[in-house]
Amino acid sequence: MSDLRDSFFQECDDLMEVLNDGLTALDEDDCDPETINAMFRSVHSIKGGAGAFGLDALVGFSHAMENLLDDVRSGAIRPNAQVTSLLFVASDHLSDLIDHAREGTTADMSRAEAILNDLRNLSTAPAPTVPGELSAEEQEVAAAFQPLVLDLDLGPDLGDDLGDDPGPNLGTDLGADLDSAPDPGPGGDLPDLGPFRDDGGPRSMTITFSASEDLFRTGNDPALLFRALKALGELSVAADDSQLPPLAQLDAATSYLTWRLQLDPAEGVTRDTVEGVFEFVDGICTYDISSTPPVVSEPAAAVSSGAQPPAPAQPAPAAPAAAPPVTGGRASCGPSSSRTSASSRSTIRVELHKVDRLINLVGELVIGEAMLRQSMSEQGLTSHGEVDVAMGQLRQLSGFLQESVMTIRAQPVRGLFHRISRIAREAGREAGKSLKLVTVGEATELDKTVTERLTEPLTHMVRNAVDHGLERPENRIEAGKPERGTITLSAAHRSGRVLITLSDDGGGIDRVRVRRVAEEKGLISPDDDLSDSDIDNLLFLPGFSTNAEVSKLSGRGVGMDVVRSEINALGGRVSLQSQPGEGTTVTISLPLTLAVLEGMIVTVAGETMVVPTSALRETFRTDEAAIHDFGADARVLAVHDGYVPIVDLGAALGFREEPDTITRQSLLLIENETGERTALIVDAIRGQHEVVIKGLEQNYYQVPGIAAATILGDGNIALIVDTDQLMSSQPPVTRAVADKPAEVPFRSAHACPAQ
Amino acid sequence: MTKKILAVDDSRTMRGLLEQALRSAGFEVELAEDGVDGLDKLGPANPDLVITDINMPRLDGFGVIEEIRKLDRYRALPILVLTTESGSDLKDRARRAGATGWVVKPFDETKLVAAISRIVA
Repeated sequence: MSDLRDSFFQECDDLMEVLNDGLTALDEDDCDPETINAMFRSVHSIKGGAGAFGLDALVGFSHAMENLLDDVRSGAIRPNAQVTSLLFVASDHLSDLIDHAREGTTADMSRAEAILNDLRNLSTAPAPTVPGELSAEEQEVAAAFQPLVLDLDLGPDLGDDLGDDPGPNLGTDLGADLDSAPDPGPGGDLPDLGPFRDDGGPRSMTITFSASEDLFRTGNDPALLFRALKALGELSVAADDSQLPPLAQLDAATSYLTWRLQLDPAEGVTRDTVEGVFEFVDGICTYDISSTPPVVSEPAAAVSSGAQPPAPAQPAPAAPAAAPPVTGGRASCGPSSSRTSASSRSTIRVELHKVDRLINLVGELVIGEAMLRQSMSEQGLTSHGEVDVAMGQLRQLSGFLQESVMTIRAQPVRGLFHRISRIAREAGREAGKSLKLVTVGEATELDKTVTERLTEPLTHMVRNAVDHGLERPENRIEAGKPERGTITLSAAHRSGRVLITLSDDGGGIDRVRVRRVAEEKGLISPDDDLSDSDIDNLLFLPGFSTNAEVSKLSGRGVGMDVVRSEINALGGRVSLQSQPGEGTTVTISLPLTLAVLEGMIVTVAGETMVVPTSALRETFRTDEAAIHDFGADARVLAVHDGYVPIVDLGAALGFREEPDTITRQSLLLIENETGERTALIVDAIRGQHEVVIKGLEQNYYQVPGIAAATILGDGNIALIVDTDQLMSSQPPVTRAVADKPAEVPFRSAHACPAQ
Repeated sequence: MTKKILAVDDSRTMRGLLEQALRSAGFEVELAEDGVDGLDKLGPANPDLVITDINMPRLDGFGVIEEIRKLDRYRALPILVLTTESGSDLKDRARRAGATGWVVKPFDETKLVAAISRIVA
């Protein structure tokens, strides 16, 4: 049962996705009937499963939602903006309820009530159909029956089933179905009808029964009913075949027989139990149950074609009371076994540090394998065919092992994206801005910890996009844009990293305003010569409060500095591009895994360093590269599409002075997410290897320009270069902002005097 | 002889629940994911009884029943519909389509098995 429960919640995730995709389509007026059907079915299936597990809150809410969707499906309600918006809200709440059910926590019912009310007000609120009425169609079917003369060669067993024309007496409470009672309750047996009270001891019951052709058409079978009755006590059956026509006039589809049954119920068998047997044939047969006091005389001839007259068709005294729902076996039903504890699942919880240890060890294994391979080839051992094959297998297996271990921690960003979509919708509602959120690459997998810790920064970012990025609808129309803004959230793999971008098609950053605010805050001086990108980056400064200045729409603190520090803590980078009038894009670049990295091993000033290959674009030898002097003490590298500043890695990290001549060194052309490039001078390139990342912060402290450390195959320790930080802290020589590095100096030079 | 049941439901959860309940009651179970899948599996499975959901993609439960009843050899095949609706409308519709009986979701295992035993010879 617990496996099924897990499977239910997994299915819920899928169903919610169908629902949300449908809503998005509906929202964009791009919705065919099948999409609405699929949405309806999703909610319906959630309801069905929730019912099976006794998740009442979920059942109730999905039921109300289903009603509204049913109205939309049937065309009773047009899916206008109000309906769509309510469905979005309801879908978000449904998702919450599922989460609560999964975790076994209680949802906020007051919120549910408000949404439920809205749902009920909108939907046409189908009144419960009146049970007990035959539909017109059914009556027609019953009445239209005409015996037909058929010339048939009847099989022997068919003859047994032939019975009487049921006649028009079909009005017996067709709709009073067994299951419409809202809650059986414990011991849900309805009060017994007088003559059949248990305390009076079992009484003999006389049952007359005749079938309609519908009974056979639906695969029911009187013989099976009798068998079921027989299980309830002593039963004798007599068939009245007096209505049987001559063979020539016989219609095979018609039942001509009436049965008279005598049942001496076993202990505990009530009238309800007996009526329960007729559950499926109620309305397509005529049956009558009457009690007879225990009699000594033989009430019915034993099974024979005895000439016993058919029982009168008029209701026995108790028959009108058959209207209350029959509750055969009712006492045993109800979702009793459904509230299973969530204790045993098909998944296990493992402490993260155990997984990390495993990942680290596998990383070491991969490196060990590489070392072995290297030393074997140096010894000339790989020329032995068998050794070569075995090494190949070892390599492949350790590769698979590494991939598998990585997937333990990886999960798709889908869940995160859905949460952010929802926040965007809510923010849009609060700010009175119409928007749609497009997600791309939801299946992109990312380390679980990273995914979880991204929620907060992304929430900040998406609120920023709604509050500050998107213009008001009237302004958008004025600017010739669609009234509704678009925010795109995308995830993609790019050279060993995951890029998450959030872009809006809003007005872009108001640089004049940002600059003015920064000046007012003393973050920059009016004389500072800042590029557009420099101004954009002011948003990331801790002292830049956009709260009162820029945002008049929302009272929330925006805190892009918080976003940046969160992302940095994850080993990621955040950058921002903005185009006036066209929108803003914030890009987060994250390491795919926090454990292993593909790096170029280099030496510089006698130190061994690792440069992540994810940042590496090209390598040059200095004696062959086109290097030009730039100003007094700077150099640039000419590449095919421009000039790139040259930075000595040793000098940048404080290992040495900038070398005067560079003729025997190598250049590594590195690039960050925004496409900025720098050429790093290193003394030698030793080769490309996978290295296991050993964080410095835990044991030491964060060193500027250094991302982490690693242990190389020869046992030596090497530092891993943080290329992005290195680039961002270098004077952007190709720009005119000579001595004003992008970030840190602002803080030190201007923020301090202001304090 | 073990009776074989073809259970048709588009919900994975419901299929799982049905499979578990029916197997533990000693039935052989064949599962289908929607109406079309159900009809595809009908011939090969040759079940003694069909249980079908109503709301399904491609072909709904009514369609399944109607299609089955069109075939002579399945005229007497017991078919139960699974429905979360407690109203009589759907049951009437199902019966008109040719359903033998119905089981209301969430179903009680005992009751489900009792209903099946009642209509499978």
